[in-house]
Amino acid sequence: MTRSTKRSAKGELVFTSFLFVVGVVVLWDASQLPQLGIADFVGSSTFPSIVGWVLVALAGIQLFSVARGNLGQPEEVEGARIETKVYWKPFLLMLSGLLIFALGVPFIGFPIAATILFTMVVYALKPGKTKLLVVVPIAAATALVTYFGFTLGLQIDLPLWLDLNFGTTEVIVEEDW
Amino acid sequence: MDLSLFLEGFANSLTLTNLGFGLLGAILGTMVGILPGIGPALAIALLFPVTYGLEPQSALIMFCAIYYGAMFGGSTTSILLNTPGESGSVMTAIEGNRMAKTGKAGAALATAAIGSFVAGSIGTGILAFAAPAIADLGLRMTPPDFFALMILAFVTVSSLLGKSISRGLLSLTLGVVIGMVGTDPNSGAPRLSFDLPEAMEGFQTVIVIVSLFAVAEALYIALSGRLEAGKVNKLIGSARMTKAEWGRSWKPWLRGTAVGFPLGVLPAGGSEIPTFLSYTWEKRLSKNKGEFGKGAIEGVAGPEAANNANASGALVPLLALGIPTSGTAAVMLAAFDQFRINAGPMLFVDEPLLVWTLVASLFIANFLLLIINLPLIKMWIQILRVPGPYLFAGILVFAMIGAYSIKYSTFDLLVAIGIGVLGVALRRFGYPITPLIIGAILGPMAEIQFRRSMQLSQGDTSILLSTPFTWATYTLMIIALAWPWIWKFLKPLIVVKEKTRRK
Repeated sequence: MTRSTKRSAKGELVFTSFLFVVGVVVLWDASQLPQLGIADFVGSSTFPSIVGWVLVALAGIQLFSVARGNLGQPEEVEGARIETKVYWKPFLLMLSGLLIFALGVPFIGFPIAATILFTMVVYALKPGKTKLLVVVPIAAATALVTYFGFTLGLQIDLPLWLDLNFGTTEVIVEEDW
Repeated sequence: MDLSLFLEGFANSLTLTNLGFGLLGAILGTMVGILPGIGPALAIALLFPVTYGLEPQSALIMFCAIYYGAMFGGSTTSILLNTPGESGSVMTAIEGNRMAKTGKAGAALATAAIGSFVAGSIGTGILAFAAPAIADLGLRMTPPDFFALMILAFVTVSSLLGKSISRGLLSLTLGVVIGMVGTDPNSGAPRLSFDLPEAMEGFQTVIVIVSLFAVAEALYIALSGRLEAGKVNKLIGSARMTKAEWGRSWKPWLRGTAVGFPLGVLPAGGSEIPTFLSYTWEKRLSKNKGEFGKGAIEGVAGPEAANNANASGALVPLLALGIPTSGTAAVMLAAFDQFRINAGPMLFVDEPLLVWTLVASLFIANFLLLIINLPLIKMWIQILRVPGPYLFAGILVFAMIGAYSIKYSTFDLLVAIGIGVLGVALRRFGYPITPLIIGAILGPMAEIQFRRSMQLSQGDTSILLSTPFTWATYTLMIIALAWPWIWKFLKPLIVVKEKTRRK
C-alpha cells in the first residue's frame, strides 16, 4: 500500500463510519416520534426505524469490507482526469466561494455574490494560469446577464445591491405561479 | 390507445408555443449532451426555476425534448472526443472513435443520429401503445403492489449501476434518509429536522439534485481532478453515409431498439446493459467481424439505437406508474410534482390531453433533433471550445440561483453546499449517485404506499406479499440482487463464445 492509498483507506473508513452514525441518528430520531397516530396501524416510527436499521446494517458490513481493503474506485468524470492525490487548496477555495455566496447574497446582493463565486470557481479549477483581469469582467458580465435575465425575463426576484438593514426581516410577496 | 385523443394531442403539440419549447428543449438537450459536466438530469433541474411561470405543458415538453436531445448529443462527444460522458455512450465510443480516427467521422455521426431517430420514433410509438395499457393495469394495482414495484426499482437501480452492490444500496438508503427529513406524513411530527424550522419543510428535490450533480461534481474536480480539453477528431465533409453504410446500419438500428426499449421499461438500471448487449449482438452477427475494434459501423449503429430506445422505454413506467427507473426519469417525476401533476395511472384519466400532447411532442422533438443534429453538427462541435473552468463557474452560479429562488432562503443554499460535499465523498469512494436520487425522490412515495398497505391490513405485514404481482416482483428483485454474480458468470460466456466463433 502506498501512502496515498493508505490515506484514502482512512478517509473511506471515516466516511463509512459517518454513514453508520447517520443510521444511528435516524434510529434515535425514530424513537422520538409519537407512537400511534389516528388511523395509523404501524406508528410513525416504523418506516424510519426500518430505514435506520438497514443503514446501520449496510454501513456496518461495509466498514468491515473497507477495513479488509475493499476500497472504492473514485468515480470518473467526463472531461476531467481524476487523480488519487487530493488537492485541498482548490477545493477549499471553491467551497469558500460557495459559502460566501450562500451567506452573502441577502446582504451584498446577487451580482456581487455571483461575481465572487464565478471568479473563485474559475480559480479553483484552473490553478496558476488565470488572470484576474480576464476572469472578473467575464464573471461580472455573467452575473449581470443572469441577474437581469431572471428578474426582468422571468420575474424571479434576486437581491440587487447592498442591503444593510440587517435587523429588518425581508418581506417577500409571493406571486401567483 | 385512443386515436382521437392522440390526434388532439398532436394538434395541441403543433401550436407555436409548444413547438417552440420543443425546439428549445432539443437545442438545450443537444448542448448538454455535448458539454462535459452537465447531463440531462442536471439540466432539467437547473431549469426548474425558469419554468415556474410557464404552463406545465410547455415546461414538460421542453424537459422531454432535453431528455431525448441529450442522447443525441452524447453520441457526438463519444465519437469525436472519445470521452463517453454517460455510461450509455461507452459502447458507441469504442467503434465510433476508431471510425473518426480513420476519417469516417461523418458516417459514424450519421448512423448514430439516424439510428437514434429511428429508435426514438419506434420507442415513442410503442410508448404510445404500451403506456395506456400499463396505466390501466396500474389502476388495478393495490398499495402492496406499488410498494413492491418501488422496492424493485430501488434494488435494481442500486445493484445494476456501479461496481459495488453494497455501495449502491448504501447510497440508496442515504437517499431515502434525505427524503425522510421534514415531517412525518401522518402525524405531522417533525422528523430528522433537529428543531430547525426550515428543515421541517423537508429538502427540496431541486436542491438535492442540483447539489449532487453540479456542486458536488465541481468540488470533486477541484479536490482530485484536472480538467482536460479533449482532442477533437477531425470531421471531414459532412455527416452522411454511403449506400453500403446504410445497408450495414438499418438492421443494427432495429436490433438495438429491440434490446433497448424493453430494458428501459423494466427497471434495469439505465442504458449500460442494453448498449453492451447490443454491441456484443452486433459483433456476433456481423459479416465483418475483423472490423470490430477498428471502426465497424454496426458497433455504432446498434448501441446508439439501444441507448435511445432505452430512454423512451424509461418513460413508460414514469408516465404510466409514476415510477422512475433512471436518474433523469426521477428528475422528470419531480418536474411533474412541481406542477402538482401526479405521474402515474391516474395521469391518463385526469390529464389525457397533457399526456398525448407530450407523446406527440416526443415524436416532433425526435424529428427536430435529427434536423438540428445532422446538418448543423459542425456548429455543435464549436461549443466544445468553452473552457471547462468557465463552464463550471456558470453552472454553479445557475445552480445556486436554482437553490435560492425556491424560497429565498440561505438555509437552502447551505443545504445545497452540504449535500454537495456529501456528493464529493460519495464520488471519491466509489458510491453511485443515481440510487441516492431515486431514494430521495421515490422514498417518500414508497413510505406512503407502505402506510396505505398497513392501513388496509390493519397492521398485518403479510399484506405486502398478498398478491401474485408482489411475489413476481420480489422474485425479480432477488434476481436483480444476484445480478452481479449472474453477470460475472454470463459476461465471459458471451465473450468466450465470441472468441471461439471468430476462430
